[in-house]
Amino acid sequence: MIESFFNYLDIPPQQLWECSLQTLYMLFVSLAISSVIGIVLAVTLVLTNKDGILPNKAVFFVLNTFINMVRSIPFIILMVFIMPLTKFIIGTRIGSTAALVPLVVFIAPYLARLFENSFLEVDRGIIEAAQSMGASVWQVVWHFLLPEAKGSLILSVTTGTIGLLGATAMAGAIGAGGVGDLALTYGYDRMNFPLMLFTVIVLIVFVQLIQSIGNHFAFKTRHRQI
Amino acid sequence: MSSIEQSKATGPKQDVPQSAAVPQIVFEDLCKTYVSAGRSVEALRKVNLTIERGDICGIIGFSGAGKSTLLRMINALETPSSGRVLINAVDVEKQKRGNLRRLRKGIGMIFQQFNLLNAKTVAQNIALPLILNHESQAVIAPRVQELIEFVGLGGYENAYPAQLSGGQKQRVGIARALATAPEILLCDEATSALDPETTESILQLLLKVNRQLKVTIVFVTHMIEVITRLCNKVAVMERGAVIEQGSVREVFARPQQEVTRRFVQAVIPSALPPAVVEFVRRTPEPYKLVKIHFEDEGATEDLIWQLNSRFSAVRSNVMFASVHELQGVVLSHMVLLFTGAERDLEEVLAYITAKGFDYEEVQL
Repeated sequence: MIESFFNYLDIPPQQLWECSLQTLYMLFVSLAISSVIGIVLAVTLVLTNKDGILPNKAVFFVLNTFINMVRSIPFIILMVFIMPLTKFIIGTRIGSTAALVPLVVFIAPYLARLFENSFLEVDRGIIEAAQSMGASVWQVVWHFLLPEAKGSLILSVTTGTIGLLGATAMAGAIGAGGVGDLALTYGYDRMNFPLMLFTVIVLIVFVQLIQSIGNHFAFKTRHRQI
Repeated sequence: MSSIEQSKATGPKQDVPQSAAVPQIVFEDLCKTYVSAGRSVEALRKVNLTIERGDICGIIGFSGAGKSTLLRMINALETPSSGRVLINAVDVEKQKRGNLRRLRKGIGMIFQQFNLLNAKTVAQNIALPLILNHESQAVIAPRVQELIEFVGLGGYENAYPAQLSGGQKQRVGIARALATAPEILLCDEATSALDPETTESILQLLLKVNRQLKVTIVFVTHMIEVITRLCNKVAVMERGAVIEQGSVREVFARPQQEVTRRFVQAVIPSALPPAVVEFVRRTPEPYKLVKIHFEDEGATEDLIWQLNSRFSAVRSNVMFASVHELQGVVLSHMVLLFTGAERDLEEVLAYITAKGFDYEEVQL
């Protein structure tokens, strides 16, 4: 029965499996790198904010403008636009690994914004308490800002991951492979509607999984507070 | 205005050693001006105030009087526009970053909204200042346990703040503030979010902190009851200036400023009820309406009996009386209506003065 299903999709099961793995690879590697960059950017934004503990108009302005600029470029254009950079870093312009560069450039500023909001949710009084204890800037971030924002940060990562999944599908346009590539080359170009429907279902399952996992962990850090 | 000085009779200060020559906290001509959108607001105007070692100094005022700004000058959460803040004769503003952090570790602070970390347990919250000091777990664990016992939260080590009542949260706040054994504890409206019963228990704990650990406490509040229960010194603020200061006894017995009177009136009522005012107005002249202050032993002296037996031509009538205990001292006043011949009335007043009582004629 399974065999007849893949016959119906007109594609070998190994290829489906491989595409799923490629999508997960792009998703998690770029997520890991972007999260680190995003946290650093967000912390810098929050600290140098005029109400932050290291107010610095110049740094805040430059960073803020840069993030807005990158975020205003649609992903499909960004991918093509930064190809020379991709070639320089990875050595090639196509494939799953090459797609990591535009994915990171695309999602890191988005995560930075989401993280910034998570940090801004932390009660100003807690930061004040930290300062009254004589905490250094680094200690304020590590012992107060991060633990207090944790639940919200996890939800931000979840939201970011789902945005990232959409971008990985689009990366199929530059031959990045993955589920999106499958839908474009086999589903769209060959007008294989059943396959298209199937990839859509696979993507929906991915999103549901990511959201459930994110909610679970966010709830775990938050339920103590209720 | 008298400068804040040590009250001899009572108060938490008594058994502090004599090394206390240098005042704990001194504000010198302290000014703070905020400029926003081209408009400048004077938050503090030439504040001069000295807080001695071991004092519990209350700073009271209506909201916007600048009391919280003044408090936050002590640990440099705010910086002065001009003037100085001296902690143990050290100028707070001149400190470099590292020194400022060390200075702050010697000053605990508690808040109206407690400001506990919601994601950490009671024990983890209390351990924070020690972790910031890079103490080892072997030092932290027993110290945290000791603090938890001190504030009476035994058994709540692993509870999260959300599982605690307001009073318990403030106990955690106090334990956290005391973790590094500070000399000074700053309280920013620390009981204003609590019900009266819980407030009382927190005040008892703060008194214990002051007496057992010899911690100087500065308590900012808009609630006069707190001052009467806790403090030995008080400074009254209005529009950025300290308008009256002294021992709680002095200030409460004879409030000089209108704002102070309004605060004191709330705990020690002194206004005559309207019906009594009517009665006095109907009284034919000549009469004297006199408010007499009784303090210490005077409060228990039989002045009225003396007057009645001495001046039989003068009738005395008690219009109003109140008795309060403040810092272990009985503080009371009585409004008396004397009727009789003009000359006799003068003699009565002279007798009261001669007996060492303080009185003032009440204007209706």
